[in-house]
Amino acid sequence: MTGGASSRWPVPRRPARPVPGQTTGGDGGLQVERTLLAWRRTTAAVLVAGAGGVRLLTPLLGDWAWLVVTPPLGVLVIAAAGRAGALRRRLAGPLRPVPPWPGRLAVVAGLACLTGLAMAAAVLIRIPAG
Amino acid sequence: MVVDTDSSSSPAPEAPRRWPARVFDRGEDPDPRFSLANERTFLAWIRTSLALFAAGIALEALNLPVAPGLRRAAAVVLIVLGAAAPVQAWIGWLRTEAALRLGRSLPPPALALPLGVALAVVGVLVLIGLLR
Repeated sequence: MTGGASSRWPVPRRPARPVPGQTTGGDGGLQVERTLLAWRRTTAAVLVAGAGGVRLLTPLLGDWAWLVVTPPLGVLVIAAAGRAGALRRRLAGPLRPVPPWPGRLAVVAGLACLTGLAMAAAVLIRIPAG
Repeated sequence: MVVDTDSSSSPAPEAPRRWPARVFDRGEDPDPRFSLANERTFLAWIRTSLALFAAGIALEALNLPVAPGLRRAAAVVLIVLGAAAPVQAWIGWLRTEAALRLGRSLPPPALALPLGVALAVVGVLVLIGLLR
């Protein structure tokens, strides 16, 4: 049996010929999809961490727990959603260069660091070491 | 109205400068797959940071049956690592993107060894704290 149109199994398409400015591999779309999923995983992890943070901090800080956790997480989620949207728009069609957004990456890194430190400081200060 | 589109008669429009200049002013755009892989590595470090912060905070907040001094020490180590991981994420992304643009070999993750050693120390601290 040949791999023609009558085959029961889907036949992998041959990678397209290399085009200048585009990737030479055949998995261009998968690269974008992987990165999109990585952003979604990170967003989900941020949301879970935020929910856990509010839960842990509420007995210690009261309503201030929401104030510590919600604004930075909101910015993080907006940054992630913007990048994911840009990647999603690239999913259709061949892989074109997806310019990195280093400013957004810097915001994500900075807020992850500061929010984690704020939550940790609140816990360490409020709970006596002994 | 006639628009002159002859590029030989007018200078080519300069590409907008991208931040940070010390990365984007050198070399040329790499294969997009490599840039995307670099971005995924950045995100993996961010998730690692979240996990480290969560572990450190949970160790203290959940009142686990671990000797308090050792528990606090382990939590502080985890929190410090959690704060260092986003720094590694950002610096690692910059260094890797620069290496990709220049066609050089990729830099190793600077935090990999300290992270492994510190996690082993945390494990020992918690184990001793549990046995006390």
